[in-house]
Amino acid sequence: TGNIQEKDKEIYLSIGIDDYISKPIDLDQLYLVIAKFTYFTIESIFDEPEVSTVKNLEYSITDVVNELELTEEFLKELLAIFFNSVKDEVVELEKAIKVKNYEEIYSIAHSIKGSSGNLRLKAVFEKAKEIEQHSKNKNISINYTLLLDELNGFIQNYAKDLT
Amino acid sequence: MNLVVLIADDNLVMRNLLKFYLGKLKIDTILEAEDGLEALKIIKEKEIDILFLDLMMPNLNGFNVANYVNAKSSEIVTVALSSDMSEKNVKVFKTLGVKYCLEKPISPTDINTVMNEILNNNDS
Repeated sequence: TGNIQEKDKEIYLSIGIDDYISKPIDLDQLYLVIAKFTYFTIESIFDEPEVSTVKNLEYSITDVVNELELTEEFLKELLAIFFNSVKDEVVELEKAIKVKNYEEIYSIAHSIKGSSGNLRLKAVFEKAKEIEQHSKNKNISINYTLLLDELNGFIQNYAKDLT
Repeated sequence: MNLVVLIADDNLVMRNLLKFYLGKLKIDTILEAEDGLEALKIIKEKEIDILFLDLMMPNLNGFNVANYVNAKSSEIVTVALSSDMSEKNVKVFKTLGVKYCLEKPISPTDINTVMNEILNNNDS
């Protein structure tokens, strides 16, 4: 529910509802509630990569400018180049995943990893690395589409904040 | 500085980043190649002093280019770059006469250290 009050909680629980979470959904709260009623342990749910990488979506232009000894203007220019070129790479990656061309998947993921790493876009770097390593080993048991969606999500998130 | 540097990397972000650092060191001429083949053409045509060489590039890769440079027993000092600078890759590069191997992502310190070493060796 979006609007939960103390007295409502008691009503819900008294009519046999087991638990509740309030909207907007807090991921931690959601996982906790699932963990409570399933065989999942909280630890195993919190180990999901999504959770661990969400924290890395923070990006400080100032910190990166200092670390890389760039000017803010130049960093923004590089970020714009990255976000512009990565669009095509994501399209190509999607195609390669469709036809299960592991060499191509590896090559594109490697490229995204390289440029995102140099711009310290950590979540993109980590996800591209994950795809790169799975495809390098021609690991067919991996859901590459899901990984691509996650990668794309991170890219969109950064792009929204930084451009 | 009266030096000609060639940056061979298919990634535009990487080339621009390197150009920025080398620009700070007041390098005279900075040339760029987007793949291994383009790098070879430039190496054949021009006198290059320092080559920044990415490993994974389209057409010819970093090993292919290093192999050519090595076979020509040229004076080019090569700095190889890769995000996969494994022991094995370093060994191959060293065998091909590459003096410096840098792991990506690079830092400004990496570039300054390597450039300092190259320039000091040149003086002596």
